Amino acid sequence: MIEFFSMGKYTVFVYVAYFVSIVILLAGYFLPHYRLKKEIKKKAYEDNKKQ
Amino acid sequence: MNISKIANLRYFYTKTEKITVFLSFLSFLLFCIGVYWGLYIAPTDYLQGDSYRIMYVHVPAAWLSLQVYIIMALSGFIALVWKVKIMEIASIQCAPIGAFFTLIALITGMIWGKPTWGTYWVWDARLTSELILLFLYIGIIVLYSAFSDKRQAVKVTSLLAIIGIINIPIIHYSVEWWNTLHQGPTVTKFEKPSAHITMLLPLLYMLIAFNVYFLTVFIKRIRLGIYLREKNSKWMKEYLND
Repeated sequence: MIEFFSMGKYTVFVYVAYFVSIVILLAGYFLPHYRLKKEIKKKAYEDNKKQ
Repeated sequence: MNISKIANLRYFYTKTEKITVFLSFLSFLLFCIGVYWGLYIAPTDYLQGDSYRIMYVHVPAAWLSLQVYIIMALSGFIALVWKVKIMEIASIQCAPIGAFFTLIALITGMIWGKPTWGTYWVWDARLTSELILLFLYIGIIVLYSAFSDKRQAVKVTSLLAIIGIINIPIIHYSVEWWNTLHQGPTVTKFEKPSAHITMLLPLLYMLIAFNVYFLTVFIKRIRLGIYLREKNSKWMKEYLND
């Protein structure tokens, strides 16, 4: 299991690459998710304001 | 399954909500296993050491960056010729997804390049053409945002996507056409892949995981696009009130 955390001089490179990829993948997933929620809320607010 | 039904905006929006939840969990599970396999189970490379493990995110992201562009250009073509509404939405929604994959491919490639080549960046044919791909994606997003008439915007961006497809074979064959620092094909040499099977399997597995992730985000983005276009329609109001 220790190998999982220790890759000699490459540890930083490997983990930074995986971390950056995960952050970008999560951003790619959550951006449309929250945008849709936000737009639905915005529309509901505008409709309520009209009434 | 009837294709004309799926192409119907109302049908697509109302029927895909639960599918995205299932696909989200599936992507998460596939990524957890893939990352563990790539970081821990796959053996260390005799030449590159552990730095090659970056390939398990770099290669699928690079493949997807090309695949998404082809889907974007094809959808754009169908939207232009047959005026299919859902294809207009699919085409433009591909751009941010493709940009994210290209960004991952470029950043992870740079991180891998430092310990392997001794530099983060070289103006090599493969790297430069991949950077042009990122600019193409960004250009399409910016161009689309600049138009107030979104149907007109899709026509222009689809045209740009179709013209830009010339960059795809250039990216793919750049390592064969020019003398590049970037290595030649490893996995696509099907008769005799350069990588050992124990290293190749997690890579192919990660490719599946990336594709499932793409499908998840693609459906989510199409739903967003449908909502933005149909938010004032009667059926959308009825669906959201239910």
